[in-house]
Amino acid sequence: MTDEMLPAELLTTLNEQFPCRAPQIRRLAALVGTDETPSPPAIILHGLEATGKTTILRTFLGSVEASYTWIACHECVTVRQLMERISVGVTENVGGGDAGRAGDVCALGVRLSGALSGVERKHFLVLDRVDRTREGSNVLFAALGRLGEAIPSLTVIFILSVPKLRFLSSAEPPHIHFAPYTKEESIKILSKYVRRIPSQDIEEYTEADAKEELYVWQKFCGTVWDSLAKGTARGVVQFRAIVDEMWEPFVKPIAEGKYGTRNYSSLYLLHKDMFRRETNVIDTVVPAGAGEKTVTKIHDLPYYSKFLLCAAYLASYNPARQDAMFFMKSNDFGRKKRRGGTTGPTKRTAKNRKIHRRLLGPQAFPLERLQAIFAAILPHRLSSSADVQTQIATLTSLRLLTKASATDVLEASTKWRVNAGWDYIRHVARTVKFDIEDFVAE
Amino acid sequence: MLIIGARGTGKTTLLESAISDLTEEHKGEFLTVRLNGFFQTDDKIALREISRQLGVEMELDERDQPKATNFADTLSSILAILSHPDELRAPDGEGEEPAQEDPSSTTTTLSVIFILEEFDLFATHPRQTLLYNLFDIAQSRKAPIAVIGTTTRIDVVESLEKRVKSRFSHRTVHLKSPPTLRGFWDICKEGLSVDMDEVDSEINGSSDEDRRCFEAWNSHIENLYKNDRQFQRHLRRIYAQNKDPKSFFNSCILPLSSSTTSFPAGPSFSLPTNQLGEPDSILSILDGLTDLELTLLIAAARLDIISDTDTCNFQMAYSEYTALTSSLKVTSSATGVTAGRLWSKGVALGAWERLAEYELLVPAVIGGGSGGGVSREGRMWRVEAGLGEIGKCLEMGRAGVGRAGLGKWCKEV
Repeated sequence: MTDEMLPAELLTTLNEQFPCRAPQIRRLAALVGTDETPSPPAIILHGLEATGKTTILRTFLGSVEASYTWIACHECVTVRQLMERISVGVTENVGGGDAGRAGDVCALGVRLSGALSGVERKHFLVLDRVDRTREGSNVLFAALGRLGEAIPSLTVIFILSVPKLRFLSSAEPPHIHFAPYTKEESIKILSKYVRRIPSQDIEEYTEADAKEELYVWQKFCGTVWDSLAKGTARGVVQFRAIVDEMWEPFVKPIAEGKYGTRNYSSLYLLHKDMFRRETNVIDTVVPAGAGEKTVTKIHDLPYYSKFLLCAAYLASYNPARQDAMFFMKSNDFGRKKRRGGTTGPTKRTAKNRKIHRRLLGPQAFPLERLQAIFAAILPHRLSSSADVQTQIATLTSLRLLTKASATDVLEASTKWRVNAGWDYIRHVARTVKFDIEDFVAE
Repeated sequence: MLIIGARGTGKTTLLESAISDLTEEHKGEFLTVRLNGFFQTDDKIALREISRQLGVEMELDERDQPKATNFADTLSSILAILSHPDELRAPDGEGEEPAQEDPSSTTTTLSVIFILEEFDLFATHPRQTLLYNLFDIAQSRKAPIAVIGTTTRIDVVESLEKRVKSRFSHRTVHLKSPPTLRGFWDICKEGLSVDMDEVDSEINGSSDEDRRCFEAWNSHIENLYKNDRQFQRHLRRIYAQNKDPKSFFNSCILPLSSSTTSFPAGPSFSLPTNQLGEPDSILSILDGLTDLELTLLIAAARLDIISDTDTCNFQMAYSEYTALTSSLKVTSSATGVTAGRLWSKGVALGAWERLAEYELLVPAVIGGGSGGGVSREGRMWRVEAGLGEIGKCLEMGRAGVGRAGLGKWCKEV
């Protein structure tokens, strides 16, 4: 380490620009440094989304005027594309001549060492969102991490959201953790973007007004955080989106002059409902009002298809050994049940709690079982003109039935599975006046 | 010959220093080819790289190099270079035609040292062609080559095929981490302190002031080890965790870079906890999760224990979550505390999928992430974190303030 340190003013401006990130910026300064100070071959930046990894690094590298290449890994579909982008990017930034082709890591290493051999300055290769690389494998990342070791003047900086252990499968490189913002920090950051209260008298905007606005804004942010963002949207970006969306309706009474800026609590009581609703949390394309009353859509299926679908549902959600109990008409239903009760008088206390079958998802069943249940639940004899197989095929092409095994459709061992929920099936059953509730095993 | 040792025990350093010693002694008598299992991911690439490095070392023109058209051609041309040292006259890359243009040039045999880093990865290549050929040449003394592999895997010999194994000399060197704290410190000290001999040889006529300054630094480092409690604890922790000098040096970067200004006056650097260290486990991201995500994760982890299966889907986790939250509501309405809120299914599903994105949940079926016709709610997942771990994380307060209430769910099933 030499005496050449980063100018203190630079750090101050960066800290002003990005509040609450002082330790991270200081670490970056120590690791990236200036051209005279050495840098480690690889650095890992990690932190969940919206913690400022990308922005801060980019601004930092820009302001210390380092020579760097920025590669957005999530934009590269194949490894080859990634390699070529890196190769072209580095040669361009260093100012080398022909870019050449580099299809694999090996060739990339050769190219880069060629391009960087005559360069005295340190070069930084930033791999943004490297964990989103589509064809990435551990070997690839390890090789990329070793690039910095093989080429002295190169430092590879990885940006990840979730840290993986032994990511580069080497002795550990320095990590910089971008911790998630706490409530106070988030509000502090959002205070940089105070929105105006849309009131009529825009001309006379004074210091006092701004102060009042800041007061309401911070209070409001705190409320949103406690009610909505804490539960669902920790990231500053999501938080800000929610705040932005709710701000205008919230301050409308102030703008209209009904409420003052200081009685926040009564304003909150007025809008209490707003913080209970979830419409601001979910991203929807359809405007909120349109989908208020969601009606389960029913396909207008043929008569027998509806029964087939019910049979498929029963086959998927009922255990096969209870079929006899539910569907055999010759047996006395009650007697069967009673006998089932008497054979098992030993009350085995289940060690494990039983999971409701509906939660487990649909189970696979063979086609024969479907047909047997179908025959059992039909209220009258099957009309000879109905082609059941075709209707099954139609249901499959509608994706209401799906094939569960990889074998051919015509094979007897092929298993099937229903692909519709309970609400849908209940509606279907009602349209044909079939009481499906009686047949579902609990 | 194989060098086996854990990461950070200095396999490559040892090798490189040996090679540089050799270079000084026998300059121009041997070539070195360095391959790395991470870079040369298959034999074809490895061969191309060998021919390239040989070409560079022998100062061949680019166009003289064998055209890397197909595997067999390259292999045979390299074999030709290697197996007929008599024919390898001065720059003749093809090695096929015994130089007809200059018969007077003396025959020089060059030894070649192959360094295969991450040797275990070469053993995974199909049929181990490269290893077989290299070992074959080395063993049958067709050409003076030496193959040196470095690896971290202690059982690497077992992964060799029979025909390859029989050609391997079975010479292995094991490098171990320092067995005592003292030894570990010696290594670390070597990296931190200034080598006086080196200073003398590099900076001719270094002033007395400089010398004094360096000596002060060295004794300061030694003092740190002897007297500073905090420093000792720090060192012992790294020693206990991974015995890796590199992570010690990493932890030194920050204090060093801030102590440079006071360097001449006798530096003062106290080591705080390792700020640049690798996080202990994936659970370190828990404090960044939202309440909903955390609760869903706990619910899913509870299901592991309750239902005795290691997989669960969203529906199961959501019903468990509903049960947990509503029971909390009942107890807390008595005490008058506003309880955690029950989010709707749509919101919860979004949170669930974010958990999957963070890899706290992994699909139970290979390729199950894409569904296979099963709806989003029904897909089976496996939870990557145990309930106990989550609970401990919450207790230590790493998961943020005000989450202690959730810790109860981790204990009582």
